[in-house]
Amino acid sequence: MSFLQNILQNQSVSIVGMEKNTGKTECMNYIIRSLENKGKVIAVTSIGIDGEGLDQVTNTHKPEIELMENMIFVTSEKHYREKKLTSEILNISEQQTSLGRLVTAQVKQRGKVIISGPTTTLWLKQMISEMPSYGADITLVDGALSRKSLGSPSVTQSMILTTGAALSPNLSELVRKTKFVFHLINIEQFIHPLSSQMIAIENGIWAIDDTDGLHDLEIPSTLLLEKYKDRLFRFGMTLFVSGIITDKILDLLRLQKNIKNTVLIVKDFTKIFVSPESLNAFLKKGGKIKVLLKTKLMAVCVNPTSPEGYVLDSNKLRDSLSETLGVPVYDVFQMNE
Amino acid sequence: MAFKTCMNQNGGLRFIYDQLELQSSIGRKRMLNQRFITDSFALQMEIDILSEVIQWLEKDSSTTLIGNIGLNLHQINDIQQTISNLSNGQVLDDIQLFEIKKFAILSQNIVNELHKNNYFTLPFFDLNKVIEILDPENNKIAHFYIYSSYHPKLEEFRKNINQAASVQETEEWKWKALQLEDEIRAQLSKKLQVFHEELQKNLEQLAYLDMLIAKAKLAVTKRWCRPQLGNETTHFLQLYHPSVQAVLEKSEKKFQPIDIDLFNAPCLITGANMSGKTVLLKTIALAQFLFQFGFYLPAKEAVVMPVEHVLFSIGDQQSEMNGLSSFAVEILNINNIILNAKHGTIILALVDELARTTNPEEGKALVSAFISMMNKYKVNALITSHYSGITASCRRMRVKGLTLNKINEKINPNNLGDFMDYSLVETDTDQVPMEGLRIAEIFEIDEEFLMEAKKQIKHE
Repeated sequence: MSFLQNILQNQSVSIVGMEKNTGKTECMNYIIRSLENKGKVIAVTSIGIDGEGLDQVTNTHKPEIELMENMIFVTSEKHYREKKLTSEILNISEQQTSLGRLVTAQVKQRGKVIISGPTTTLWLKQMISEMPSYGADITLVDGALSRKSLGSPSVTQSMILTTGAALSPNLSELVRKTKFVFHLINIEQFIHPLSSQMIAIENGIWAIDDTDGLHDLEIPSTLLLEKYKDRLFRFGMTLFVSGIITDKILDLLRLQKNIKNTVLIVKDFTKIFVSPESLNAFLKKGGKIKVLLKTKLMAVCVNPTSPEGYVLDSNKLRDSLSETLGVPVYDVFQMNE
Repeated sequence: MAFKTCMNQNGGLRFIYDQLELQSSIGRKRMLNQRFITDSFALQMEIDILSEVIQWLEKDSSTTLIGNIGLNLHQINDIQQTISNLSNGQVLDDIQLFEIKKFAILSQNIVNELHKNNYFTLPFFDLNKVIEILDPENNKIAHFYIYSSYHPKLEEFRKNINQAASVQETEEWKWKALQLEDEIRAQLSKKLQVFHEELQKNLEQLAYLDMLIAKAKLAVTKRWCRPQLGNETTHFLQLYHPSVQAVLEKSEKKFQPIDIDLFNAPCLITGANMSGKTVLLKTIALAQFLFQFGFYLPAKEAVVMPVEHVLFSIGDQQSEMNGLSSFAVEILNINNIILNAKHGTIILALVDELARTTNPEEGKALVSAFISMMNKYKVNALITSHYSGITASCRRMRVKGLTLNKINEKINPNNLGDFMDYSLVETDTDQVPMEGLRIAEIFEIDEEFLMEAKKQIKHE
């Protein structure tokens, strides 16, 4: 099955970049152009970013995307007002993001627009589910591996990961890093009656007791773990961190005597910011890690060129990645030609 | 005083608010900003309109009607800011024009539903003209952009953008199109400006409708009663406190409903510990609030005298006022009641365990004095007390308290409620029931301590 046929099997696909300049925008643009020729209506949105002004300051990781006639897009009021295309407004959300409400619109005359999106996982999920009612065949979600993203791209049916020389100019290092993320993507899903309730939680560290009771441990942040260590195991060893996890929590849990019974739950793999060393040590000692939301990795797209000008051999890169990961690997820059 | 302010001080009202199925943010805002209605005429109107919506809900055909209205209300956004911009003569952008169009369509849908069902009580303006202005292609859906059909030139410019030979040419046509679009936005805004009052009124009416339907649904599902305006009495038959009842129901217990008549005079209520005196006061306060915020009431029958203020002195307020002792807080609340009474404000005063933290001699004196003042100024006041020997003349009621008819079963702290009869009886003695020691026994307090206490009573 070709790349595009594969994409069309899904109602929603997220495109997640491992690093800036790994070709996420190019990948997105490529998919959009290719699907347009197939007469499909595509909807596009993005994972909202926490913290206002961030976009305006760095302005690098939110590039404009070129959209074609009839495409649907969701973006913030701020970015809607800055759009360089003609579009018909279909709806406006009641809920606010730091960049204003979200506008759903359909392109009437092609052009470019910056895409911003829902700031929570639930909202993103709801947005994706609304898209077919506007006539969309498939929804693409622009996702990022960033500590600032709140929503999880894993609510989509499938995912495309983009990687490339920007991550490392050394081929084996690049493969190693990509493989690590691939492992994170494949972490076992936590299937439980409480999971839909847990997805909605935006703050804190929680515990699930033996009788399936969910308790807020009242630890304001994982940064303050040391101070509140005595609170951590009040309700047993099944812990849920609603935000991101770092080496700190893994190292702390590893040193506890009941590590073998410890289950650490996070929302999805994008919330895991740990070093391979810490994770391995944690797992080897008997600790378990699970995710609430899991999605299927459909393909990996590579950009062999780094922003500094290093160029890796595209064929070699694709071969060694697909051999290691067992999923199709594409170079969208070559597919364009 | 707004509902929101009251709700923040009164858990019972918050519980009611959480039960309301309000569909829109404007409905929620309307409810939270609802004034405490003190004018009899306005109250009567409010009850009449609500009862009409309730009758309408009770018809068989209402389910689809309410469903359809709810669906439309649910999609309404608060466009207050946009309407204000419009009335100030500002040029609206596409997002704001979209908001107006969507609102007008939803408003029109709801009005059509209402009229189809012969419901004309709430007046609405016809917004079809507004829709026409924003729907030049007659699509009848709430989407919007500057349609090419607004101006023949626009279509031409847009075509040229696509067919331009160079980037520079494209930019030129884009610039021309943009200028023309802006001109059209200005014209549309000007045309719409004359409708700003109609839009404003409909926004308010729809918020009101949302609130009414939510109140009506609550009244119907909970079988609440239509309150009547009282002139010289307040009368409740089987009044209950919804949130307390909900808590009791969780442990499979029932709230014993309250039957009580109140007049413009003080009434002293005595009863043992745990006999529900505080809940009684809270229930009456809640009923008074619900009545004057335009709700039906959780009772079988209710006749209520409207008041200007409901004033409390009910314990546990110490933490709210920093640095004052509980007695100081209490005495300031009492003073507030007296000042209001003297000023001639019509109030309902609810005073729990007046002067309980001071010594009994002074306590009794304060209670008697307070009752005399309430008598003098003809204030509808409910005062609970533990003190015997309060001599001031007033109406007295007693909570029946522990009953003996289930004597075979052993009373323990958990089933104590089953043996409590919470009903009120009129009494004329100034002696209060002596049940404190019995209740202490039930809690299996140290025997020596109890014996000693009993000895002390005999000595007196």
